Amino acid sequence: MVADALDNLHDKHPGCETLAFADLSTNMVLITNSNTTFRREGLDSLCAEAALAFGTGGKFAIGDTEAMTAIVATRDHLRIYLRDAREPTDALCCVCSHDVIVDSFLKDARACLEKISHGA
Amino acid sequence: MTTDKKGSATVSDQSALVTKLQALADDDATFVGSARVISMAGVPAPMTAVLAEIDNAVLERTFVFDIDGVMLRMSVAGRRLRGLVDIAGVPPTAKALTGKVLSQDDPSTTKALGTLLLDLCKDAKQITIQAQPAEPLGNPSEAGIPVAGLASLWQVAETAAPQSRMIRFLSVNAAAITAYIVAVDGEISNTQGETAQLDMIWRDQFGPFRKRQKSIFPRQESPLLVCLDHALGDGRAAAIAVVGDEASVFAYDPPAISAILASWRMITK
Repeated sequence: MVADALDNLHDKHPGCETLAFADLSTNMVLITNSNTTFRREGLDSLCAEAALAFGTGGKFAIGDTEAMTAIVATRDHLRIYLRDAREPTDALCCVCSHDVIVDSFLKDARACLEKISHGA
Repeated sequence: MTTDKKGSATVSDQSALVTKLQALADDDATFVGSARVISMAGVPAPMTAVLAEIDNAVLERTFVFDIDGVMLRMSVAGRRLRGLVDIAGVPPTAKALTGKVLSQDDPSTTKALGTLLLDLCKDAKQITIQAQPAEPLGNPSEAGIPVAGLASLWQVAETAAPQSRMIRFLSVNAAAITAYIVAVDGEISNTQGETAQLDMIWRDQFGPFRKRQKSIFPRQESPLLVCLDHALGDGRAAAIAVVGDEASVFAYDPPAISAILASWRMITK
């Protein structure tokens, strides 16, 4: 079911390249979409950056309030991280091209995370 | 290519072909539909971008400029602007400028067109262009005015002066960016708005964050933009940005994230 949710999100957005569902409490990627090109080290880096952006040990990396979405724009990609409001250690790590339609993707990615975390 | 009954390519086919050829010729260009983006988020300077397109036009063409939804159809040829064929999306008074070939003998029309363009370009977020087959305007022998003459009359730089990319980015998103700090080579050079929380981020969090992020992605250099929704509380978001030797911490409205990312991409690519 989780794999299907990730694959559906991936297939719906042509600019989406990789999706990984991660547990920030253990810094582990639990599952990815079926045809990700990322290797284990790359996935670990995504998870580490998500944990950094959202803060660890009650300390915020940027600002003084919990963020639910973090977006890192590099020259080549957008790395988009979402975490669940009720299960804040559940995170969706996404790598997208700059062509992705951000608003639409964020809405669908949020729904995907909700579905994975709570079976909604 | 479809043809009419006599086997000739239709005007619409030619237009599509021109668009396709342009796309193939310019790999680095950004397209919105079939229109090429020539200025986004104020980069390059809108009027300079418009003049540059006219200056590159050797063959007779109708250029369709879309300046934030205002459509101007201009006749160009021989690196000159011949005149305004039509305009849509502005008050009817601007229609008085259409259908006239610009001439050195009638500087008032050229000046009025310059005033209109400068006003449209002043805060333009996005300008696109489509080159279409030439449409009739005036007498074919009337050549119009070269770009150098237009730039002089309108007091516009023909080439864009180098500007701070960070300041340009922040300025063009002024409606969504409520406060910012800009630093050059680590020294704060510019601030705007309520910056108490941003000062804390710059002083205590920016450096450690960048250091830890570099340890995760060692080969990642600038440009870099990191946006976090709600990071400042009360629904306000915070971001850090690095491009070249400039860095910024700014507060923004989360619903504007898509526009902010698009303009950042345009400015830093």
